[in-house]
Amino acid sequence: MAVANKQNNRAARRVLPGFGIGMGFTVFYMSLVVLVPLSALLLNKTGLTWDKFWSVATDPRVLASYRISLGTAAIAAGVNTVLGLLLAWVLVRYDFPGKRLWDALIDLPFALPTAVAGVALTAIYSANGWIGSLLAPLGIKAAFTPLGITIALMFIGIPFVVRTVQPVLQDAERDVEEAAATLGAGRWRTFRAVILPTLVPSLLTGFALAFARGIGEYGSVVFISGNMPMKTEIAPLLIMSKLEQFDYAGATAVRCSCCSSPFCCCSALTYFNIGRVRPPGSRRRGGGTWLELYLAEPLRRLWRRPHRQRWRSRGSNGAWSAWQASCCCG
Amino acid sequence: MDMKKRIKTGVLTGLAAVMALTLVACGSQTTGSSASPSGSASPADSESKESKESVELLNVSYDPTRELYDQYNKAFAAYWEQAQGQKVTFKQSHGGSGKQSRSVIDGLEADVVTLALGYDIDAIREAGLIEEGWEEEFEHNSSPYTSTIVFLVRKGNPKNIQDWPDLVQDGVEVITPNPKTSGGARWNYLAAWGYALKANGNDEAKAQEFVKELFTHVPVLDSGARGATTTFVEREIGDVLLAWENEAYLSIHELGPDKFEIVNPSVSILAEPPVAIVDKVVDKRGTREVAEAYLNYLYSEEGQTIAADNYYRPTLDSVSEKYQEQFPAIELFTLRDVFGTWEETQNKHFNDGGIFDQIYVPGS
Amino acid sequence: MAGLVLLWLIVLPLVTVLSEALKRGIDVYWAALSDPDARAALRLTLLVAAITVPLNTVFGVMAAWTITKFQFKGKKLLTTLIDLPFAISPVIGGLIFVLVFGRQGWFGPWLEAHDIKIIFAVPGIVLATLFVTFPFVAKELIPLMEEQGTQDEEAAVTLGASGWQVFWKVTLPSIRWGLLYGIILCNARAMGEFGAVSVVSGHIRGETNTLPLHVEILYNEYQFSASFAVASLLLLLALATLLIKNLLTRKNAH
Repeated sequence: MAVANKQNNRAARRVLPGFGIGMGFTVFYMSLVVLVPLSALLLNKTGLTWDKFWSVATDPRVLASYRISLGTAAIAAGVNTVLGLLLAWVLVRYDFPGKRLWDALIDLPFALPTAVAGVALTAIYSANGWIGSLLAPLGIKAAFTPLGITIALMFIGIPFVVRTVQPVLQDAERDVEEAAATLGAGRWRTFRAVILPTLVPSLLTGFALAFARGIGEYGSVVFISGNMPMKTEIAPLLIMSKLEQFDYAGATAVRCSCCSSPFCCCSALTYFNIGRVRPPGSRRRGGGTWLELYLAEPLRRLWRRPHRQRWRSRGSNGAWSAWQASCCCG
Repeated sequence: MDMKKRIKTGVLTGLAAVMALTLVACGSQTTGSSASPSGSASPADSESKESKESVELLNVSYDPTRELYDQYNKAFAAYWEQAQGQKVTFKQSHGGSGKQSRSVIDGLEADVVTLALGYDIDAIREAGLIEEGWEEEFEHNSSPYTSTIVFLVRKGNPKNIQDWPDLVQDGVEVITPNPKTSGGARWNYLAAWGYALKANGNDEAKAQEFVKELFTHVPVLDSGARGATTTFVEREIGDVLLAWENEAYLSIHELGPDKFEIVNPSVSILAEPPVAIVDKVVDKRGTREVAEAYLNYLYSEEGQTIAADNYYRPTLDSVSEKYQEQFPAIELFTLRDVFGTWEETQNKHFNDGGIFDQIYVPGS
Repeated sequence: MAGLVLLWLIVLPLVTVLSEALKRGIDVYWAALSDPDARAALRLTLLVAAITVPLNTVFGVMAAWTITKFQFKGKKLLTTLIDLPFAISPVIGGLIFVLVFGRQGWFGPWLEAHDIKIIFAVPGIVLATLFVTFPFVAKELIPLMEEQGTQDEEAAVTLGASGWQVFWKVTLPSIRWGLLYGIILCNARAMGEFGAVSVVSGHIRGETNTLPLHVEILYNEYQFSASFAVASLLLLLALATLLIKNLLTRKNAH
């Protein structure tokens, strides 16, 4: 039976054309653009030994840069989670003039070259800028401090949260809320008891994406950070300056160690997303860990719905994009 | 079985295509190359006719010379057309001196290089692109203009900085780029070192102490000279910027004389940004004659005047007399007198594990 | 409240770019944009995007088709390899082409002998951009097509449709959103890429400077207004991308 099925399957697959040319082109193009050049890097030995790796990765300046990168990214992602929820809420639940335009603008940080964002934000928050000059009398310095970095990361990260929360909110069944309201629940209670639980997984995803992206962000931060070792030097900047000194080994060491954290967080996402597909029937199987309940299951549900394919592809891919973003300094 | 075969065919098709493309590339290139010798041969064959044809030069330079060469290129183009009847156009590339040197080594086809320090040109020589003895090819160690390291302070000099010792007083923040990445920063470092040697009767240990102390006053270590200037001027960080004299004047000129002033230390280093012809490139492109003239003309009255207008110290006496007021007399020592060759200096101070690595511990 | 957040986070930077660009009047703005170097940079940026985006789109579709519609050994490996450029810093992405095509690189002597310039010239910039934007389209499409399975296509084939017909009539309509999003991301990155391009460009003014590099140069020359003017051009390109995406979405929603 199984064999027959398999054969059947195979026969069916063979029905589709284009394997040869598809495979051929893919391999050809990939070797040309990626593999051949990359092999040059591998063969060009960097001279990275374990000792060197360890001494670079635990250098006080490097450690400080992790702290700054992780700290600002976490705060920015946290603030973004709240603000993103707010934006998504308004965009989904209310009608107002120019809604489409506002909605489209959310994607701006995706499309804008990060260097442009960097110079613009610096101009706003430096002591003689629009907001900077308002903050200066209060004794608050935004540009060239961790606060400035956080603001830049908020700009970069906000679409991640909005775009993951929006579709869930769109699909939340309104009648449940209405039922809750008719049963006498106040607005706040309805929100907290009915709406929020359904949103938690997507909020977590949004947080993780924004966080991961924030750790690796380079272009927009480099202008506003001030580049002070131990104070506002972020990890990607340190990598860049090591590269400028042709210290490839050192750069690799910093990169490996600083990539590992977003990698863990994103692989957790992808793991729960695609790593554990169970047949749809077995979805409700009683108990399950908190993570299973709150993260894995809803994510999977969210990304399965065909009519949400646009968001779905965005979302599942977002984990990767975020990881890539965090790994590279672009 | 069948599947495997198909994968194999797919992979093979792909690899075959890679090879085919390479072959095509080879093929088209052989035709291309067979055509090119005739093209490059013509300048040698018919020199008289060739001089009418226009020529293009690529000058690879470092960051602060943009304004200088913008102006000089126009002047030289006019001069050359009048003298030789040949049109010459220029391409300019600017960046950190070390990075530019690296690019030339990696294949950026510069006819001439005009960099921040001899070490970067030595690196190109070592790669076999420039012949030995480039320092003697033009006058004054192949440095048509010079500069020095001065202090740029905020208007009114609030921290009252007059000379090197004032830089290491409590509460003074000094802005300088990273000597490991920036040519200009190496001049800063060497100027400070030279001063300390002089002040302490050539005591190396004391000099090291002073420079170490100095770098504890550095809050930001930008990778390039322009970055450091931006930090000081735009971001308003630090009390004093160690800068090339020309860069200091330029920032005053561009960003407001009401904001900054220049302080000349009692003693500083004579910074000699050298120029050189990239022999391999000019021979290949047949541009040696015009490239030589281009660099030589920097020593002419007009070239020197343009350099002085851009705040570089001219080497021609007649011009330097004219600009006497702009360039106050500072006691200047040369690299050769105090440190020897660039190679020795680089090995001792700036290479990995060198003195700079020992004294600069960020955050301490 | 939400409006304020949006204004503060997104609209303010946008307005700043425009206002800084126009600070010294429309003349300065116009002069900055009509500067031959800026025009050359714009041309180069558009050219690079025009070459890289279609190439990577074709690749993305082909790769996604191969990976999702067929079973074969090494599928996981192939998928991972496609992700590779994501995991590599763009600066390294530029560097590898220097290692391959640089004067001291693998093909360096050969290229020199034949007088072909790859790095520090347009081909190098195109290659570096291809490298960094390589996975965008494929990564958008693979999960999407995976989900859709192969039944529709198989049905079409059994009904006698040719390969092209299957692709155009069955596959494409169902993946067009993912494809579109992939192309947009790819395009935005291709026009905005800084790190990788900076390594291979050689910074020759008017010749190998792309728009983002030109913004940096002007910024470093203290020409802040001009720098923002060029930045505003990039901003407009980004807005145009969003607009196109939005228009297409709306058209197809009905």
